[in-house]
Amino acid sequence: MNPDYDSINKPKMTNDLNSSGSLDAFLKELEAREKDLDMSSEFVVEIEEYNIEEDDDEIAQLEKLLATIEPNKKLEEFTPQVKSNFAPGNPVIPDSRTFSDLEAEIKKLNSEVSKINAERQEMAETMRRRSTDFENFKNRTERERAEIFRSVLSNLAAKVFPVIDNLERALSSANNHTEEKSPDFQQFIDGVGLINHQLSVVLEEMGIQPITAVGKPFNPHFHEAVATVQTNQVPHNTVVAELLRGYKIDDKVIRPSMVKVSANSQPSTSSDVSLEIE
Amino acid sequence: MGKVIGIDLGTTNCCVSVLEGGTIQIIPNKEGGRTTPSVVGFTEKGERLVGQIAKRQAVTNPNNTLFAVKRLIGRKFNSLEADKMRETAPFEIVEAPNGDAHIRVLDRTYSPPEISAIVLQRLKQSAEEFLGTTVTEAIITVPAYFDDFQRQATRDAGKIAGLEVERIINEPTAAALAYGFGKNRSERIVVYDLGGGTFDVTILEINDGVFEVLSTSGNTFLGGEDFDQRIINWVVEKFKLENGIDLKEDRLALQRLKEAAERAKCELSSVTETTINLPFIAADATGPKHINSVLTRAKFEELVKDLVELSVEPCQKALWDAKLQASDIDKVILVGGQTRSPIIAKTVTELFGKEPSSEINPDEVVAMGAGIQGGVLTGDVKDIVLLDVLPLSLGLETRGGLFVKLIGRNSTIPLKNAMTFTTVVDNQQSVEIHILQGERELAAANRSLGKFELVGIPPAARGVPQIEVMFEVDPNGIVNVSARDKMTGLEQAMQITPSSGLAPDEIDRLIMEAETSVEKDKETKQLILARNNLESILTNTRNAMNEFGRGLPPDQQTEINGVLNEAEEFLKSDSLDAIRATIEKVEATANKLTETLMATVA
Repeated sequence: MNPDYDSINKPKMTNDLNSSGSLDAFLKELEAREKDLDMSSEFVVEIEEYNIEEDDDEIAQLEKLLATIEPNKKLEEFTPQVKSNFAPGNPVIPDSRTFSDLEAEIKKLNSEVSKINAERQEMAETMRRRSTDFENFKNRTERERAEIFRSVLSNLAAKVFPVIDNLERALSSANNHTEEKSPDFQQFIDGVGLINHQLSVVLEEMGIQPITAVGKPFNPHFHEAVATVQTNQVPHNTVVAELLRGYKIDDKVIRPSMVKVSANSQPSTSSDVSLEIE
Repeated sequence: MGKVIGIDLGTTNCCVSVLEGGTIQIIPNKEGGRTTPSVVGFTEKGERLVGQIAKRQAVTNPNNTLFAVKRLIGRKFNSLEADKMRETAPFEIVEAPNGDAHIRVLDRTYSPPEISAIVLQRLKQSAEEFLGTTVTEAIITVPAYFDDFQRQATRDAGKIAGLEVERIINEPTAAALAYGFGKNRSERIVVYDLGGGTFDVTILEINDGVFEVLSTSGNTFLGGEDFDQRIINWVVEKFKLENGIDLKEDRLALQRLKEAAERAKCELSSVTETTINLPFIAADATGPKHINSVLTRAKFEELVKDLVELSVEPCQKALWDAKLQASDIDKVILVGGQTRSPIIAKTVTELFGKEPSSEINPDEVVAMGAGIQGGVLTGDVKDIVLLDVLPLSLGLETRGGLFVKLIGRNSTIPLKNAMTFTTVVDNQQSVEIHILQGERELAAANRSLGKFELVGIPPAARGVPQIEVMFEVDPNGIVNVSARDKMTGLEQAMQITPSSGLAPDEIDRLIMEAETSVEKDKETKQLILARNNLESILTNTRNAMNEFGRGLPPDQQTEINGVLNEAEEFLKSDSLDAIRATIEKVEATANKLTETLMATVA
């Protein structure tokens, strides 16, 4: 029972008593009051019971809902908050806001959960992509690492080749010089020739080999044709002259040979050229 | 969805990229190059060569080595471009039954998409090797001025190569994407693209993910190769004057000079002076001759001044067409290797009043943009939306052969639009709906997509009947056109599916063919490898015989030589099994030889 009720009503009653003259009237009044009092006390009880039931239902409902949202979350966290409405001394007023507030909160949480879920899924997806990318990157790097020495060497060699070309041009120019050479000059040329030889030995040691071209069937994987020569003396599509020497490292071409290629005046359709693939 | 690769399918060179681990990677080809020449060679042996390798044999096989096929893709045999190609190309361009330009190679004809497919197939293989997984989806870039036919033909090329082309995007759009433009920004961008053989300038407007092409112009026969040629000519003339020798008559000298010229041009992009150093370039009675010429950047710029000028007018035209002033432009992007020359940047700065962006490798920027778009489709890139737009206007032919646009270019699709037309003469009972695509005022100058007739219009004075024509473009670019007589409700409609001139069943057949040719290529490769193997074993054994054979009894010598001579014949064989059997036989003989020799030594 609400303890405040009497204390509020009592003085009022006294006041009423004072103002009314007859006992009859007083009794009637008292009866009426009593009725009122009963009614209101019953009413309050009803409300209380009703509220408890209602709220219990609400809690159960909430629990169910929350359980579906986050099954792992302990319910105790929420319960005290709800129960505090029934702490002694608090007026029990049917609070219509509680329900809609909670509903809103559930909605909010729900949307947050689905947002987080979506984010998690996205992260997982990104993770998956990144790890495949990384796996592939790792494998490729592994492959490339084995290649690095070869590719660095190829790059260096490619820059040195023109120097070797020119050295050889110098030598052949000197050797083509038909006039009598002085012994000094001849010795000088021979010396330069030895340097040239030394260079080719160094290349060989590094695994860099000249590509054979002249007399071979033309093969674009190793040779670059810059001209054709009409001739029937060699099979169609045969390298007849090497203008610039090509080089390879293992079977990887660093620089293709620059060549002239034979063209028979009536090329046979079933040419017996055998092509090579690296 | 697996990886979506981005492909810049260029006139002279191609480049492929893919988004990996959040960054764009350029995929190198088998030969290690970051770009692949757009060249395909067919050998008499039935081998198909692509890229650098195909280029190397072009001289020996000019009729069957195809390049710049992009100029022909989606074109008619009697088009201007095909005419120009016929004048210069050493291969044979023929007319297909449907009027398209096709190419005759050896004993059959190929459509341009088939040739592009061969290049694409090779790029796909490189990508698969790089990524260690199969690749089936791609973004391919095309010039902004490509019409529906050319775009569809490019799509078909991808399909034949076994690639699902998820999007066709404009090259300038791709370049802008690579620079990260268009992220929640509204900008006007000029893309100045001076490639190996073509020059394009495009003005783009970007608004919330919509890349609109405001105008495009260019010169299809201007490129970096012309710049090299200027240096070559300068050296040749100078040499002739000093030594009286014409280097152009010497293939080797010319080839050396070509390389030196290209190198000099590249060097002059970073230094102001370089030396063209070609010792022993020629010789006459007085002895060997050398070239040792200093080329300054100023001299080079003087040599190519008129070429650079050639690019100015298209830029001005593009501004004019877009109805813009230079001051309206927010950004300028340089694309194509030739734009590395400072004189280009200088000219562009003068033209548009802005320093151009050139931080990204201009040879790779388009492919990179395509790769980023691939990332957008797979969900790896999130902050970019790129909407599909109609590349060219759609409309009808009206009285006097005029072209009326119903849907303007750059409209985002899907969309629809209707317009009401009427008759031109009294009691006209039918109207012809001729659907065209293009930007020109005259219908004849635009590309015809199809036509149909609406018949049964009730007799009436001219100008009275009201015929509503509706154009509808769906998300796949398929155009539906309907015409309805408003009075009678009579209606006639037509669907225009993007077509490259190849029928769907034909494309299916070509896909099959491409797949089998990959198989065949594999077989050929195996055959060649086996032959090589046999050849080296033969050579080694012969060498061993020549060196040590004398120590063997004469009958054994004859026997071994017999085996070797017999094996020699199989070098020409086309049967893989026969070659393999021979290899075994020779190996057995070689082993016997070694054993006998070891025994002799012991």
